Order: sequence, then C-alpha cells, then structure tokens
Amino acid sequence: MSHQELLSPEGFRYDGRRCNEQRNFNLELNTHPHAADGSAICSMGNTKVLSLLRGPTDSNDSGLSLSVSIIQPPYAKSDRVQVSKNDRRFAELSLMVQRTLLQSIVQKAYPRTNINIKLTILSADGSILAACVNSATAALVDAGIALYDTVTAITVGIHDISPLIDCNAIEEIDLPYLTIGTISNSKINLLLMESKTPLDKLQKMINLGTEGCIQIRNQLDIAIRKSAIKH
Amino acid sequence: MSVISIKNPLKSTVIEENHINESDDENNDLMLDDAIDEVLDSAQKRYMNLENSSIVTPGELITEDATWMRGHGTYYLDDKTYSSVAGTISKVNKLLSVIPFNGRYRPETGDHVVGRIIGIGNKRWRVDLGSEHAGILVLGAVNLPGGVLRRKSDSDELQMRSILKEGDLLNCEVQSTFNDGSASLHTRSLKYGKLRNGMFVKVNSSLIVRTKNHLHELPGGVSVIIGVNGYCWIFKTKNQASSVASNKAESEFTSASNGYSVGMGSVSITRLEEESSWEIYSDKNDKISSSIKETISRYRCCLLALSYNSISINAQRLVKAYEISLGYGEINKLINEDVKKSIGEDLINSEKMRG
Repeated sequence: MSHQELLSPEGFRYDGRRCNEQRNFNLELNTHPHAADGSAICSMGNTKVLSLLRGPTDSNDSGLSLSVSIIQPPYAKSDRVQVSKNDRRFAELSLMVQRTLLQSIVQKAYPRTNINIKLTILSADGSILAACVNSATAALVDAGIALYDTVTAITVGIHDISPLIDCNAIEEIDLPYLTIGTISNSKINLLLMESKTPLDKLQKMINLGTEGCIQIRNQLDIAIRKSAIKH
Repeated sequence: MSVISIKNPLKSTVIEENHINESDDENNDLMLDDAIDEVLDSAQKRYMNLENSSIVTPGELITEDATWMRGHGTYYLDDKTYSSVAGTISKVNKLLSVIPFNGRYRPETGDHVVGRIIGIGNKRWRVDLGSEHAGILVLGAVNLPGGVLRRKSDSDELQMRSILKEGDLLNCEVQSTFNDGSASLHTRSLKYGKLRNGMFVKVNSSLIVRTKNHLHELPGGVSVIIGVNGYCWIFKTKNQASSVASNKAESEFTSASNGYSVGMGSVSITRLEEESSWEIYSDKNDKISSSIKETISRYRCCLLALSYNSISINAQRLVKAYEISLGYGEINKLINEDVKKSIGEDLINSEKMRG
C-alpha cells in the first residue's frame, strides 16, 4: 500500500475521513449489571472493547492492587487467529493500561483491596490500546470507584506533515503513530510510540492527540450522564 | 462522525448537543404534561433542573468555596473541591459529599444486614456482606445456645462450627466500622441469628433505603428481611409461640389432668432461655407447605422485578408488587423480562395515582 492512498491530495483518508476526524465513537456503561460491579463497551469505529470490572474486593496486600488482563478472541480480526493466553504484546499492553489507570484512582480510599479488570477485544481495527483505556475508565466510573479524573486516550498517526487522528488498522501498519492518554483535559498520562518519526513532528501529533482526548472525555461525560438517567 | 478542529476545542458543540437534548426533553415533557396545571409544570421543571445540575462526574469541580467539609466521593486541590465519583451531590449542614450511583455496599453502624459465613478463624467468623471487605463476627458477639451469658472459653472456640459454619446465612447488625470500611458485626438479639425456612435473594444495595425496621411480615404467611446490603431473605413467618414452647405447653396440658401447678401454661419472662436453645442454630427447616413455598417464590420474583426496574425497595412496594403480580397468573411467567417491566410500570402508575 502506497502512502498516496492513505491521504488523497484533496485531504481525504483511506476510509473517507479528514485528517482531524475521529471515527464513530460510542460508549455504553453498565452493559453487564449482573456479571460485574462495573462494565462498559467502548467502540471506536470497528474497534470494540468490552471491559468487566470486579471489585473492590478483599486482598492481603497493604495497598490497592489493580490487575488488568486483555483477551483477544480468535474472531476479533478478519482472519481467524488464536492469540495465546500469555501473549507478550498483550501482557505489555495490559501493564500499560494498569499503570495508566492506577494513577487516576484515589488509592488512599482503597486500602487492602483488589480491583480486577478484564478487557475483551471483541473486534480489532486499530487503536486497541486507546479503546482499552477508554473502556476501562468507563468501567471504573460505572463501578463507583473514586477517581481523581477520567483518563481518555486516542491514537495519532503522521502522514508527511499532516497528523491523522484515530488511526485504523491499515493506517497503523503503514504510518508511524502514537497513542496518547490524558487526564484532567491536558495532563499527559500515557504516551506510547513504537515507530520512528522526526522530532519536529512529534509536537504536532501530541497537540492533535490532546484535542482528541478532550473530545473523547466530553463524550465519556455524556455517556456517564446517560447511564445515570437510566438508573 | 465528529470533526475535531485544531484551533478551537469542540466543547462548544458538545454543550450545544447537551442543550438540544435538554430542550427536546422539555418539549416532550410539555407535550406529556399538557393537561397538567401550569404551576405544577413549572415546579416540576424547576425540580428537574435542580436534579440535572446536581449530577457530577469524576474530576468535576463542585465548589471553590473552602468552607465546606469534604465527605465521601470528593477530593480537594488548592481549596477547590472536586468530585471523585459519578453521582449526586448531597449537602448535609456543612458536609459536602457525592453519593455514587453504583458501587459496593459500604457498612455503617447500626445497619441491619444479611450475610453469609465464608470463613472461620481465631475466635471469629468472616462474613460476606457484598461489601469491599468481609465483615467480622467475633465469637463474643453471638448468643450461645441455651442463652447462657458468660465469657466464651476455648471449648466454645472449638465448637464454633456447630454454631455457624461456612455457607450459613445469618442476619446481624453492624456494630462498628473500621477505617478501611470493613465492619464488625453482632447478633446479640433474638431477632438476629441464623436464617432458616426461606430463600435468599440478592438485589442492588443502592436500591435499599435505611429504615427503622428491616424485618417485615407480609401477607400470605411470609416474612422478609431486606438487608441494607442488598441481601434479602424471604421466609415462612414464625409462629407466635415457637414449636418448643407449644410442645412444652402440650406436655403441660396433658400433665394438667393430674393436677394444677403454679405458672403452668404461661411463657416465662425471659424467653431468651427457651428460644436460644440449640434449635436456633439448627440446619433443619420446618415443614413448609407448598402454598407458602409458592408465595415465597412469588415474592422473590417481585423483588427481582423491582430490582430490574431500578425501583427503590421497601415493604409497601413489595406488597404492592405482589398484588400486581397476582394479575399475571402463574409464578413462572414472572421470570419473563416483559412481565417484570410491566410490573414495574404498573407499580409506578399506581403510586402516581395515590400521589
């Protein structure tokens, strides 16, 4: 796939979006009221992540222990592949989600407790880490766990000089991209970049990413209020 | 699809969206409430606005006023108070707190709760209350069989499993709470203790309001304990004279033909001794007729229907739901989600009618 197709001269991306256009974002809270203390489904375009939270429950550790596990069933991608349970990539991703979220929880309110979050990637089409963070945050809110603020995340890719927000799987393969997560509107809580890009372009990407995170935060806020009205 | 512009953040569009939703709602309300008096309408709207504004999400600024005391669900930075959970603001005198919509049960002193024994160790039982931490019931906080009042000895400690063992359900009261939110329990009253002759139902603890009394006798020979922690127990109502007492009375009656003795036929002043025999810790259920079993399961379905519709639970509502459910025929039809929904709707309608 050539770069030409990823961003047309008219400024349209492979799937018809503009550079600064997010995919369809949908967030639903309290989807599994009986199976978990907190649950949420986050979909960003064709990426869909379900999170189930159990806890806080008793634990023997002195502080709060947060455990996050990410599962990708074989049907998540278009070609059916079995992901082993101790896949290193997912182990790393879950560690990142765990560290990102742990900072946002009011830990002193939960001594000797354990919170367990299970993330299931129902469908994968890029921005997996971002969707996982958003989904897990929503589950934490749904479970009524005290947070300093909500963490929201999004990906930004770069095509020549124009940054592209919310990459899908095709863009992620060909373009350098980063995942950015912010708390309290502008404080960066998560930044992951696994490819090379010139340093001068990084600031541009971060700027757009921060804007995107604020946008998602607003949508999360609306989703929380919607689920509140349902109660 | 939503467009992100780099120059100006899209907060404004979101706010507009909110605004549109609100005005839509208002329109609907206006359409619905056309017949209702205008004064009532405006009052209702004012109430609704009030309610909308008191919903907060994590990280939202509640107040910059430093004079408020910060309660649960809040934190502060530079004299500003923020919310840490999604919920509604509650203001009691100068105490500001946020009550979360969802969340596990948090024990408070004096709560009447139903729990399940999950472990035994070191002169105490660990009791699952559906809260963050398991509750603790110490050996000293239970009635001994026979009602003897004395210090608990080592032999009592060895016999703990014969009083309460893992898996047993009991109702008890929260005696005190600890810093980390765990609870110490006691059953030092005849109304507390092991549960028998009934059925366990779990509902969301946020639906239950703390009241003076959580044990209710319901029509149909059935009683219910609505635990504050959302664990409920529906059981056959105890006879006024317990079976032991009635047996005793019977035996006395037969012996009465021989002659009269003082105090015969009466119940002693301290019922503690009679009622706290080993029977209160027995595992055997009394004989329960099938009609009572059916009533119990009907009440269970009603409780679940209330929970399904997120209607807060109290005894009056439960009885009303029971009456409504009788109109839906057989008990097994009450499992249907549509039926649950319509029971909820009927209940809300009937409460509106009464006002």
